[in-house]
Amino acid sequence: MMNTSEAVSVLRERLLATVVATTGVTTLGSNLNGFVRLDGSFLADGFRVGMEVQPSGFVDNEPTVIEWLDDTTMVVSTELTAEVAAAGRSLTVGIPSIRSWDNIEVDLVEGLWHVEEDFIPGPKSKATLSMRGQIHHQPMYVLRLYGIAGTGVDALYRVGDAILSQFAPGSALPMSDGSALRVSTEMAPFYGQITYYENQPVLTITIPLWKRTHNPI
Amino acid sequence: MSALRFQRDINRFIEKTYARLETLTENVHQHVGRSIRFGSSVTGAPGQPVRSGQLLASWREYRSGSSRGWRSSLRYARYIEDNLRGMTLRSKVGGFHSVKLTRAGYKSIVRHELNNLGPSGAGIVFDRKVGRYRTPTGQFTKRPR
Repeated sequence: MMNTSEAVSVLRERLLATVVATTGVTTLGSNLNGFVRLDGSFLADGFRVGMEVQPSGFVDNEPTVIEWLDDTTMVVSTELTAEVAAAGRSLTVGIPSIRSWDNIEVDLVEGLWHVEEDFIPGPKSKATLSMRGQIHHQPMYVLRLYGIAGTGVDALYRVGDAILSQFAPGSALPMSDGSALRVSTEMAPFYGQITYYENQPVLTITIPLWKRTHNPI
Repeated sequence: MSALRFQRDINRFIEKTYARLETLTENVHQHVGRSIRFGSSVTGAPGQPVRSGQLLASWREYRSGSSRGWRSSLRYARYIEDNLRGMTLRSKVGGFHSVKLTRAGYKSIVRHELNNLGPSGAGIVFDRKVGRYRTPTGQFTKRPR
């Protein structure tokens, strides 16, 4: 049979590898309002207003949300410590820092993104003609991204697109038994329209999957 | 066999094939509705949770030309479908994501209904004009199993 808890683990692992935008390790500085750079462009790197950015190498490395930006300046929603530009720092937008995994409670922070997951084991059927045959499993992984109100659609859709590219139709997620959990091609992963829950915009991403296991008869 | 008789047989065959196709389409449509509202072992959908019955009753079928489908105009139907903010299920029946699971299991529904349309259902067709099933002799009958 399918190892469901391992399936959830490999899905989370693939999800957390999502990178929406990053400066890479470079020279960055900060002031009270946000981050600055001398080379390169925040916009060209894929950053957009409303995204939750994770700093690294600064005094303040707490996730924060982009309120305004141009090529060299990024204004964020929290107050920072002013630091002169130095190498070895990075800014990255990935999966929101607040993650509500199945059956684990988290404290939500107003003004930050969060993500929720649902793993649905789905129906099973005997797939092959022999006496024992194989079991065809059709699980589904559903993610809900809660963004920031009033920041437009760019941030949510870009994060959604980055997640979908992690789960391309037909891609395989290797499991420890040597088989793989596969992303469905019959019904490819998709997201719906942005909806609102208590005025917070939500993007629901559906990832249909399939896996074959031996029939343990 | 005369050419006229052959033509008549072919026409009868085409007529029967279209009738069976219509029956299959209708049966699949009804199965989709059951899967979304009450759940289905074919798709794994749990169906709608029931407290007051308002959500369940809000799911209505629609038909337009040759297309047909199911929809709910209730505002919170979407919240239930997507399980927004990890809602607590207070109903003993039903659950979340029924539409997604039904969509994902659509091919399984078609396969299942095609099997059901086999010998036991042979000849029973869906009459769109009156919205009921008919036997080969024209009598109204129940939906073939």
